Amino acid sequence: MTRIGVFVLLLLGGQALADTRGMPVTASVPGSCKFGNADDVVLDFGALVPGQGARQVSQSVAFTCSTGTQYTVTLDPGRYPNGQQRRMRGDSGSYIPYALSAAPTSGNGQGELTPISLMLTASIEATAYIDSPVGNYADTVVLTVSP
Amino acid sequence: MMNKGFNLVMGATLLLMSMGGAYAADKNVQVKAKVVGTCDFVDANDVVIDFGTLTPGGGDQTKSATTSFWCSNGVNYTVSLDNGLNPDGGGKRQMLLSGGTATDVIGYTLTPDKTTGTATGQSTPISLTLDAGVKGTDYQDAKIGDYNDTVILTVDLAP
Repeated sequence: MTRIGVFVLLLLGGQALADTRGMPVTASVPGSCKFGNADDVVLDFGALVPGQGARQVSQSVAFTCSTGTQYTVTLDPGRYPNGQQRRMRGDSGSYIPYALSAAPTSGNGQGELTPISLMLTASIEATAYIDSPVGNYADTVVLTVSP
Repeated sequence: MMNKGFNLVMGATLLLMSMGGAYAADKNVQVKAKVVGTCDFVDANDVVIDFGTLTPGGGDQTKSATTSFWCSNGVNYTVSLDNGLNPDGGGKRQMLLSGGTATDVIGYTLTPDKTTGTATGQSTPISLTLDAGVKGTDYQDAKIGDYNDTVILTVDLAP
């Protein structure tokens, strides 16, 4: 926002030095979105015991967007995708496929005083980890809220 | 020159204005899990080893039965058997005569074909065979009737 202001001032200055012409100057300020805090969102499946079925975890995160701004929520494929399939990588170098979704994925901002709650849900199929070597598995996905 | 400089500033400004993405917000999402070791039998059925009819004087008899289990990929397992319901003072397993007294027993042996190993996950069950044996001398004087014992078989993660 500050940089926009500077450029607009420059524009006006430049115009003052140039020949006077009928030149309209218009500016539209794009809306912005931001998260309520800078912490990572952590979706922890905890202990997975092979043979104990499908698992799901959810975690919410809050953000705000400028009033009237239409936002979209996107999630990148993470660090270890196989095609479209997200995967966590284990200490042993093996992978556990999982799914990740966000809700809502779009909407209209209502300003900084009205946080929007975004629910992230990760799930693992029962068959995804029945043969997984014991150990810790992790992935990092970038969540983006764009105006 | 003045116009050129002006146009550059103008262009840069319009470019910046059109980049709505510059005002998006990013956040890392960490997805984590810990796969822990476990072992389980493939089915919940009891393993039955039946010597059938023992005729005194019939000599040593053996019977076996097979079951399957699996453990998490990469873990070491142990297989153990307890001493059953009617062991003698030395821990030897004994079948007890149904309706009989504590001395109406037939001693027997019971041995698993493996006691330790490394597992590779639920998709590859491990076959376990239990061999049971009765010495001819253990039932030559036995009273007639039905004898049985129950032993607990345990598959666990190696310590």
